[in-house]
Amino acid sequence: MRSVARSDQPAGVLSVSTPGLVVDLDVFEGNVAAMASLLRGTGKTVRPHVKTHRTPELARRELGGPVAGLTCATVGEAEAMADAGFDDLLVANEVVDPAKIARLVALAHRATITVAVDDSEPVAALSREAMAAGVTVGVLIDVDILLHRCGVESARDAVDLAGTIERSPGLRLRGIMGYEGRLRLRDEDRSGKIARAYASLAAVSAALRDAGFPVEVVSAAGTSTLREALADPTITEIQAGVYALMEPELLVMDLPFRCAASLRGTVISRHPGRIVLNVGRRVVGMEYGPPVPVGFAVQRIAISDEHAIILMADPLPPLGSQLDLTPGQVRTTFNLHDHVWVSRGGEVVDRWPITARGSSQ
Amino acid sequence: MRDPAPLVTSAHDRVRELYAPALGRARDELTTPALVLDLDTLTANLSFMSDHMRDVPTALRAHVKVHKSPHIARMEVEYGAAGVGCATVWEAVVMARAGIDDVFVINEVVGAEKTRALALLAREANAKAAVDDTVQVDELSRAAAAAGSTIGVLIDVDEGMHRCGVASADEALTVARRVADSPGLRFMGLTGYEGHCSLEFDEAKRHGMAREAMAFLTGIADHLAGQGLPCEIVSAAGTGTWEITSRYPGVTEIQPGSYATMDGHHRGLDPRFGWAASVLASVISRRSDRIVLDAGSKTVGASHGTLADWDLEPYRFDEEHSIFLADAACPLRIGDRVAINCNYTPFAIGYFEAYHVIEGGHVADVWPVMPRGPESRWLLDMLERGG
Repeated sequence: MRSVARSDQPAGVLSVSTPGLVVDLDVFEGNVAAMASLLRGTGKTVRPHVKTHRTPELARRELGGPVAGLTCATVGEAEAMADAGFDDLLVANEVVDPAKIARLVALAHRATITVAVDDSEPVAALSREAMAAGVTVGVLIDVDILLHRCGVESARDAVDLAGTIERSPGLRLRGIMGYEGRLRLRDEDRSGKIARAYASLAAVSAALRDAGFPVEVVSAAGTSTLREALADPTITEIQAGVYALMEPELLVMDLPFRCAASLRGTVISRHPGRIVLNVGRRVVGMEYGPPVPVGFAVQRIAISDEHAIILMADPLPPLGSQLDLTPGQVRTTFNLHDHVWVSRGGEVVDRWPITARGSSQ
Repeated sequence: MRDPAPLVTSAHDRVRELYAPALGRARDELTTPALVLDLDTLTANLSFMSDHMRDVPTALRAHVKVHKSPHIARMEVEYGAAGVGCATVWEAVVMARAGIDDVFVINEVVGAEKTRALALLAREANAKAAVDDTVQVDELSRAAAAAGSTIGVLIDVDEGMHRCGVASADEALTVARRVADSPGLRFMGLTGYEGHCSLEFDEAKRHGMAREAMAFLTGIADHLAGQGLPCEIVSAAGTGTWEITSRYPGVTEIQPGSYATMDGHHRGLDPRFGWAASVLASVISRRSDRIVLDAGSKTVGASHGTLADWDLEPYRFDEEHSIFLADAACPLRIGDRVAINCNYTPFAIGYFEAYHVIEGGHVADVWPVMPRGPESRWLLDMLERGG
């Protein structure tokens, strides 16, 4: 990928307006370096998923090393990343609305664009638009390997769809993708699920090759299945995103990543055995559990819309003091903020826009 | 009500420009996921509340934290709300600039930039805030003195939710006296939120809990009055307890918010208000046994939702997708639009920058969500500039 000029230089130590989202850039960069080390010698690449943070300045710092480009979940994210200068984007999702297909194809004038498909109808629409625009759009066949979400359900359907794609001008079949979802250590039959998911990818890949179709890319996996994906012979690129910021529930997974994001709140109310922070569900994603206190012990934490109610032992922090919590879910958390504050060596030195906040269209 | 200031009109212009292709279009042709607001249902909700409030001795203070919409807030005032309630000082700035004079931050305002913003706002609007500690009182007083303004102050009372708020009449008296003695502040009364009641779906039990909470709140008001500190305002209630609280002797105003836009949780408490806000989604994948929609927890919110017009069983909600079971008999196909009614609307609002306002099945207007926040220090800069 071509290099892109960085945003404004640090301007001294900044005070965080709370509730504020902070990224520890030292930890973030450590995570990126750790991912590069894991990939070295495997012949595989990572395609960092920007839905994690929707922040071009963070995406920029995930490049270098064995990186294929960026993964996006929506056309809006891809537009924001193309605007920031990134030139190899995979929309790992089905795009079916004619208006969105037109926007996606328009991006192919300034970036290498690849998109997931699982049905012949949008393939025809993509082809028409790409032809009209005089561009080529790369296509990955989305395979349902575990989640029962999008994706073709059999090798036969994949071969049929590949035929349709090959007959469609303006499109280039690049391979397949699948996503096995977040699999936790204690999930029932974790290893069996992963083995079956990757066996599906291998079977579809082999069926396509046997039928004479190219499979240069097999894109799959996330942070929770990174170790298994690295050991899998079929997968060529890994769509992980969370690894760079990490989430508390994944810390048990023997991965070389640490939590880089936190929410800074202010103590706005104080009572015997209890403080209240101005950090609520309007600013933190809770899908994977409540945020985790950083550097202080609590007995209980309850989160309402605008408040975190924290039961803790004396001495209570004074009214007006600032405390940090690690978000349980970084992706939905980033999508609730306009900016992320950037800390370096423990000091907040910059603030970057979460440019693609809300770009769910 | 004053006309909206440029802060609000320019935000309105911006989203109208951003979503220009949507204006006038049929709802079911919109780019998705989109936050849609059914104007007839919204109007019916406001009208129902307004009719009720005419017959009770309390006033309505419409809480805007749910919808964060200057446009909806103005409609609420047009339908009789005496003012608005806000969760943050930034919401209060936006609502004052929307033309609403009576803005009450029903929350503790802590930190120099926020007390400064409130004090500056009090120069141009009837701005109020809640306190539960003398430390906050002192900070507010200093800020008001520096800005040369007067801030209205209400004592936040913990009615049983155990979040913010003083826990006893004695504590309330201590803080109220400090307010009354502090330059730049005006003691106005008490505020409480019996949020714990809104988790109780049994109406009889909920009303019992609400009465208990109101007895505590009004008891403190009586105590303060006996000490020479009469309460001009005694404010309480949410959409789960609005009706019983609106008739409780000694309460002067109620502060519900969800009633306007509604959601699954609050319809479980009071089904007389209709679902005005929902998230419009498209079918992006059609499998033999299910449909996959392009809206998930990153747009509908972590509390998810149900389909407005289809009786389909949810299979799973992911971040960008929701999946519903649909066999071959279900006519939905790729590209079809469906509306998702949120189980808890505030979470969905935070993920959007604008409402598509639907009238007669078409987009009549696009309204901004404002302030999106939470980082809104630029609003302080605006107040400092006198803009």
